[in-house]
Amino acid sequence: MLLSGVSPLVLPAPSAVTETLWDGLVSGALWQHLWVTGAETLLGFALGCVIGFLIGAILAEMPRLRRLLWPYVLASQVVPKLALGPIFIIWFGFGMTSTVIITALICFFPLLENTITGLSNVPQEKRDLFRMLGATRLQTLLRLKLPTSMPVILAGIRVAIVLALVGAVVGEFIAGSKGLGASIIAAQGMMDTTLIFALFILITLMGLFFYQIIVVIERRILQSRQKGTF
Amino acid sequence: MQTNPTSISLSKVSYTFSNGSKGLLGIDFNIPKGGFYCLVGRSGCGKTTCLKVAAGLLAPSSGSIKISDTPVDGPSSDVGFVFQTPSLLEWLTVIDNVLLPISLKGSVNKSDEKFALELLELAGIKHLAQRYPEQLSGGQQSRAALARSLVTSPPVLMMDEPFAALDALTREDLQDVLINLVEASGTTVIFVTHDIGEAAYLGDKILVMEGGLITHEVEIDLPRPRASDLRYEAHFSKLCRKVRSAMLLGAGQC
Repeated sequence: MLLSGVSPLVLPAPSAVTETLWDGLVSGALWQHLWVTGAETLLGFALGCVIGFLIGAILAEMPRLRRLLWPYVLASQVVPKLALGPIFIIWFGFGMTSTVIITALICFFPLLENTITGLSNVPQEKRDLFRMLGATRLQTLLRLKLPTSMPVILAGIRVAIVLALVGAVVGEFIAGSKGLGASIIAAQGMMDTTLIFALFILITLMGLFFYQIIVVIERRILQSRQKGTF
Repeated sequence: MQTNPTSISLSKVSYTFSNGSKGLLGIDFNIPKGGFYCLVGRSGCGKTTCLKVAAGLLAPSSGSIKISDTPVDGPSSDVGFVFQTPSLLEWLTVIDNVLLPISLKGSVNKSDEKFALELLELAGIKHLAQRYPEQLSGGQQSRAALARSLVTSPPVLMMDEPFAALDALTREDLQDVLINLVEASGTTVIFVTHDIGEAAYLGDKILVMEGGLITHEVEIDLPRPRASDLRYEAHFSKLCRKVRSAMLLGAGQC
């Protein structure tokens, strides 16, 4: 009742938002944007996670290198990623590549941080046990440190998937011509608040879907680790 | 009378921590092959440091360590080590944990599995071979860790307060399991404990430590094989009193 006097331009009715969303899905107009944003999210997520994990593992295994490089890694992460958007547009042009790189940069740090934390916090007695058993460095990494730190690394992946969608959508704001983020900017230009809210709902559902997928994968990995098949 | 060859020898071994504090101040002792020596002392007296230096986990600041006449310059496959906690890998079954030392060296064959099961049987947990560590009690985990330390039949076993977290009855059971396992294999043992009764029951000799030094050595002239009733004999109590007095004297000297 309180909102009955508010213009639909400012706050559209839920029924109008639902109708716009439904029409967009049925006509197929939203699917291509959904596909583009989904692809950018997953590609950026995969790229950021793989690089973050690999660099995290290297820095965890080489503490001196970590001490040397950490200030630069940190500095690279406190720079707002979106501020780098214009540079990426100059380097890679408008479109998917720039958005994927922005997304990957956002996903990189949670994986890096959690991988370093997980691999560096294996109990000393277990590390001593592997030393006493004459395990090689690679054996210690693969058969002790990685399985032990798996829950921490997987928590980083959970954080990264949420950030990946944020990165992809916001990346599209500045570097995209397609996708849900680019659609929000286009709808803003047309003052189409109803479509903006419909896109919000779509992005939220997409984020929940990706998060649940990761939770299921995490559960599977931890179960197989528990069964010793990891 | 023929004496057994020396299995472990520490000569003037000192250790300084990275913060400059002294951990060991010139430790000397020799353990004959098949000997069972216990290190006792108050918390912080250097027992665990001494054990880790002897095992090659820590490099001594000075002095020399030999195991079977070979200088120790790092962890050796001749030494089995049991830590204060069982340190089992929670994603492996009990049998896979026991076979871990072999699987790290190569493939596990049928005879390895058979020997691991024999050890688990001696430790009284063969029926739990396919369970995971979280499904075991603390005592059962300690039994598995003991079996793991012996699966490669190391000539030397070093144990760092392995039963400290267990209740009295489980601890007594495990002491008997340990005696049976090492007597059967002729393993030389260094056993760190702060429990005087445990040291007197298990050891041939007790080395009393205080302030990074061995202040006293107490011979345990109890007959072997040893049985639980021994703990209630007058001579056992006398030996425990002797060790206690040595610990008090050691504390007074430092």
